[in-house]
Amino acid sequence: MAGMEAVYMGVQIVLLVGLIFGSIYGRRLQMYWHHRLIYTVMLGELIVFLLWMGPGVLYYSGQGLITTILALHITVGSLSAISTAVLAYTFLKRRNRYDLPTLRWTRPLMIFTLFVWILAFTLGTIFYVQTYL
Amino acid sequence: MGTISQDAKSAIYLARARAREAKGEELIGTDAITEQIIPRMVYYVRNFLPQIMEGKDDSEIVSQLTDFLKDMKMRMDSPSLLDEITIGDIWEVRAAIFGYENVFLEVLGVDVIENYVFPRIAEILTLYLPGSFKSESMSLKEKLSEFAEYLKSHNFVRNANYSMKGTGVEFRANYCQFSAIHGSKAYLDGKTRFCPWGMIANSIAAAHFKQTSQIVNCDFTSKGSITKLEMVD
Repeated sequence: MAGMEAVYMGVQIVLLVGLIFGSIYGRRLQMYWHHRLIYTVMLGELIVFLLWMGPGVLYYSGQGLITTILALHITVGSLSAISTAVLAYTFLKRRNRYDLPTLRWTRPLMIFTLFVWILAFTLGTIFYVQTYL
Repeated sequence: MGTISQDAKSAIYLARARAREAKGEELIGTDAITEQIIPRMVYYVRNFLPQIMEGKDDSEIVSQLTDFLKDMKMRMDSPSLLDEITIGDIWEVRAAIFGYENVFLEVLGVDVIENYVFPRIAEILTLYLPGSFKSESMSLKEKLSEFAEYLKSHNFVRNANYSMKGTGVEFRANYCQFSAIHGSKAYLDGKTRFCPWGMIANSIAAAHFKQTSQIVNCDFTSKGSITKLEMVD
């Protein structure tokens, strides 16, 4: 089972790299790659959540500091998931992705999502290292 | 308001309103400035420069803008006078440009802008391009790279890049000095806008291929723009 955990962790690292590159392409306004990378990362993260993180939390029975880190990871990760869902819904329902009023309020939310995603990844990595290594 | 470097002034000289002014007079008559442009400039200046125009009524602003346009025209005719240009002046030129753009859109319609005005503006801007942009020994990629580097090195934008596919070019500028206006009411109310950096890229492409280059699309984000160009026979 620990082998499977390592695979999921590897996937998370790949997704994080994809997210960072996606945001770099976004800053450069290279929207073709920005959209493809970000939507792929979102889909990948959803799959990893359904197969690994969700069931893992349901059956977790640890105690002490590590549980606090897990609780923080879940809280920050939920924030990240909610803001991601809001962004995905907003852009997927729009035909015009360059609607200026929409871009004005979604831009800070995109930046917020990137930071909470990285924070959730960091907390999740600490939890993984403490639990499985 | 601070002053800017000589090189940057050359860029302003390049992107200035004169090309549009010449086109405007040709299309909508010689009284266009007082009858069409100034009233719209008042609107845009009130939106873009509220701190400067605070407490002034419309007639004061009209008088100030008329003097500004006369002064700017004189400076454009004598590049040495550009030494005194400030960022504040550039913002007023920007308001003037929006005034012209708005007149074109309202009076002539989008189709005329895209199919007639912009190709002609590209031709006019071509006359003011520095020599290297007209060089036949440089590829279009090199010219657009040089233009992108120019914009970044003079802090007009923090990020500028492009891509080419067939006869199409996509020029992108992000974190632009002038992007504050993207959030203004005047800007958000606009139906069609064109990025000045994209227009200069358009003129570079037109000069390179020695044929008409058309702006297919110009999308704006909160901090930048993406301009798509296409060569047309």
